[in-house]
Amino acid sequence: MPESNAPQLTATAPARQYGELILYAVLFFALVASVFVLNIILSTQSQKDATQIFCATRQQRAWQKARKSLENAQIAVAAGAPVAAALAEFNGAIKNFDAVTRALHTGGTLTLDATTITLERIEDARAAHIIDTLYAIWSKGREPLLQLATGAALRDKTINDSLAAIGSAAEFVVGNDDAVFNGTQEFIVKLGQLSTERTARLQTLQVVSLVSSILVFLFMVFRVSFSLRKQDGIISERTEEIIAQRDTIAQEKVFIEKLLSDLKETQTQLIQSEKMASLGQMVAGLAHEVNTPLGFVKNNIQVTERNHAIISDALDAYMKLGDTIESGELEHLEKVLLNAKAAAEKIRTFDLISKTKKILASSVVGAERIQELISNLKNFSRLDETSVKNADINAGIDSALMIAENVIKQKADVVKHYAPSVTAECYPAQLNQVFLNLLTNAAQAIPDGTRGTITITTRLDNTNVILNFADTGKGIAPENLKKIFEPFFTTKPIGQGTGLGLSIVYKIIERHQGSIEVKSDVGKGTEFEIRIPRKLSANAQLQSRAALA
Amino acid sequence: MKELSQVLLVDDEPMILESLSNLLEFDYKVHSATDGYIALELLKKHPIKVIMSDQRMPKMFGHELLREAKKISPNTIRVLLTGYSDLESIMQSVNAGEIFRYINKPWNPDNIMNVFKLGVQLHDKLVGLTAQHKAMQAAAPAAVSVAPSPQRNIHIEVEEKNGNVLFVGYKSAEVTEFVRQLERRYEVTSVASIDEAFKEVAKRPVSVIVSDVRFDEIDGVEFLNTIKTEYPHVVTVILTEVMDASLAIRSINELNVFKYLVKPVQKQEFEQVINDATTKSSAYKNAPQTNLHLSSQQLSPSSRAAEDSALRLKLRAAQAALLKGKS
Ligand SMILES: Nc1ncnc2c1ncn2[C@@H]1O[C@H](COP(=O)(O)OP(=O)(O)OP(=O)(O)O)[C@@H](O)[C@H]1O
Ligand SMILES: [Mg+2]
Repeated sequence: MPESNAPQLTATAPARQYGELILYAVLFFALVASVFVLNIILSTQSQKDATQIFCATRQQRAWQKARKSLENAQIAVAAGAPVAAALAEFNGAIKNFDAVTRALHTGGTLTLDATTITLERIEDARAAHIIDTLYAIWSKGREPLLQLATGAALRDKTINDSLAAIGSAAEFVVGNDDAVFNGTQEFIVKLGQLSTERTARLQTLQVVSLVSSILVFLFMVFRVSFSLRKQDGIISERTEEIIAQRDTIAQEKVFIEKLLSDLKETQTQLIQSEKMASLGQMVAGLAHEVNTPLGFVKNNIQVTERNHAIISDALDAYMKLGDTIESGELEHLEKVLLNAKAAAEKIRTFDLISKTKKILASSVVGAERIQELISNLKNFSRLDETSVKNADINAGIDSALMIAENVIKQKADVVKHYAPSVTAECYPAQLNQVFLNLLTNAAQAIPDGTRGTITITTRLDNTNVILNFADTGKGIAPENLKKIFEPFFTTKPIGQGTGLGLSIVYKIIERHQGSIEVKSDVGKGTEFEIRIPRKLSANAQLQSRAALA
Repeated sequence: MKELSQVLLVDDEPMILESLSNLLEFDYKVHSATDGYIALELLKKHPIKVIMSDQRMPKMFGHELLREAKKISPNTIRVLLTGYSDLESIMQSVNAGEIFRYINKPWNPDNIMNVFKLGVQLHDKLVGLTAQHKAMQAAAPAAVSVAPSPQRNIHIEVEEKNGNVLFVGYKSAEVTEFVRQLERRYEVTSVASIDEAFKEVAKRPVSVIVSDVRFDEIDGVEFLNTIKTEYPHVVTVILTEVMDASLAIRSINELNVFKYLVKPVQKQEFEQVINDATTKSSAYKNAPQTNLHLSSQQLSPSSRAAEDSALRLKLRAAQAALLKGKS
């Protein structure tokens, strides 16, 4: 049913769609945010890199300055010139170098050119290795060189001693100059490389998230427009549906109006078909019943004709005999006599005179039976009577029995328990129809090839006529018991039952303000009990007449 | 004086019994019974040549009685008297081969006289055949297996497989299945019209005709009767859409139709019918005296298709055309 589908569609589909959209949005924003985060990481990283590289170059320069100033100091000592200035320069340079090297190696803060710089230990293993090597070299010569720089090593020393101290320092510095210089060089280069690498990596990530965010965005756009279009579709669909429903409702209205008018028509038709059904039953029953007496009456007529011919021949022969005797022509007498005897022989052997009389009598009976059948038919249908009569119910049942004779005959014996003078105010033809239908059903309920009993009981109480029709047929299944009075309910094969019988019964009993009850035992039999008031109220009469009109 | 043939009338209405006894008593010794059980007793006691029973009786239906009668006295000719509302119940008996004639109420007395006369003659013939068969069996028990059983169900086993089957009045699509199935054993032709059918029967030795009975303008029973009058050994099977009781009765009474089949028919059942029909046809050919329908036509020529009927003339024309073509 479309009524139950439509609301479901509106309730669940948008929720699912919104959920989907929210998901896209979250994805999109996450991607965009990741681009920003990456950017920040990138800038801090490159700042760090720049600091490191800056420090590394400072370290290299400090080393070169230290070496140069030491050489100057050596020259000054040798020349006996004052050495303090050179040593002071050396002192500053070597301290710088030491601080930078240590900071680069282990991390920490240092002050360069009056700015404080915080460094972390290098994470990259290759760069760390270079600085570690550098540090190791430096660690070996660090103590004496620092002492020299502070001047403590030279204090109170002779020139020779000073020369020796400076010389050994210079020896270390010069000996390791290449290694340190190259190390710092390499370190700078490495740092530069690392920084480029990282930047490249971060940039790739950036590009990837940018591209995917664009993709998500595009997809979102697509989905949204698609679902919008779908929504559109659904809406137009719904509109169509609503229009269709409106049309259906309009059609249904017409249909129901038509039904209503049809119903009235059907009602009249049903009454008509009620009459037709009973007519069919009657014709079948009657034709069968009439053909039997008609058969033998017709046959009797032919036999009588034949016998008549024989008898009249014999009579002729005997008259001739009489004539012969009278006329006295006695020479022919014997022949005439023999002729007469021969002519009469059949009459004697077959006792034709009395037999003819008998079959004439039976023909009369046959004719009477036909007449009776016809009058019964009249009685049964009472087409001439549409008004209420105080009718003999027993006689009505008997007339129905006669019509049903051909159906009942080889199926059942009929047992009647009639109370005397059972009469009721009724529409006799209609009640007869009730009896016929009940009797036909009863006979049909008895299985072929078996013989059952139909028991009919009639009695009276103060206000009602009570009629009971019981059969020993196959019974009615409990689940069918409720349905048997519905029009067109039948368990009989197509062509055998229309299923109208009991619905007609029900209607007629209703018209008589009576009631009908059924009791049935599957396999044992069925009993219908009818009660109708002995006097019909004026009200009921009016209703019935309206129904019949 | 010659002893009278004995016949048995069964009806629950005594006045019918009385009336019919009067009609028949000059020529037959008439027994009568008011129900089936009494009838069967009488049948055992007396040499009854013809039994006629009413269909609708308490205790036992007429067709049931006749079925029993067939067992007790197979050579007795069985006739069923039917009334207005019996049509449904008699359909069961149409294909059972129990009944020689159906007579409707109210009957025509002359018709009854004829049926009894014919019945007695056929009965005597059957008895003669049975005796002859017994004598032959006694002489050469294995040589011939002619077993004339009553009337419509004479089975004579003849080791001749091939027969000629002709379908009349069907659109070819309707019967292709059957035709294909039968072609393995028989020569099968299917024609749509009666004219073509006449040509076919003139041309080839048709043994079985499977035909509809409802043709546009022609009475199917009459058409088949025309062919049977000219070719008595042809066995007819009616295969049609509707079970029409009056047509079925006519085809038994006038044609001695072998089977009246209502579509749809199972293939196997159909093949069995055709097998039986061809067997029967070759029996008729080899021993025409076993063809009771032919005998009854000979005994009462009025049942033959009239010499100058339109259909008969058509058939003659087809035969003549064929002869001309050959010479
Ligand atoms: N006496 C009964 N015994 C058993 N079943 C019965 C009896 N009377 C009625 N029925 C059941 O009730 C059904 C309806 O009966 P109803 O008379 O209305 O229609 P029908 O007999 O089938 O057809 P129709 O009367 O038109 O020929 C029957 O088909 C049958 O199953
Ligand atoms: Mg009914």
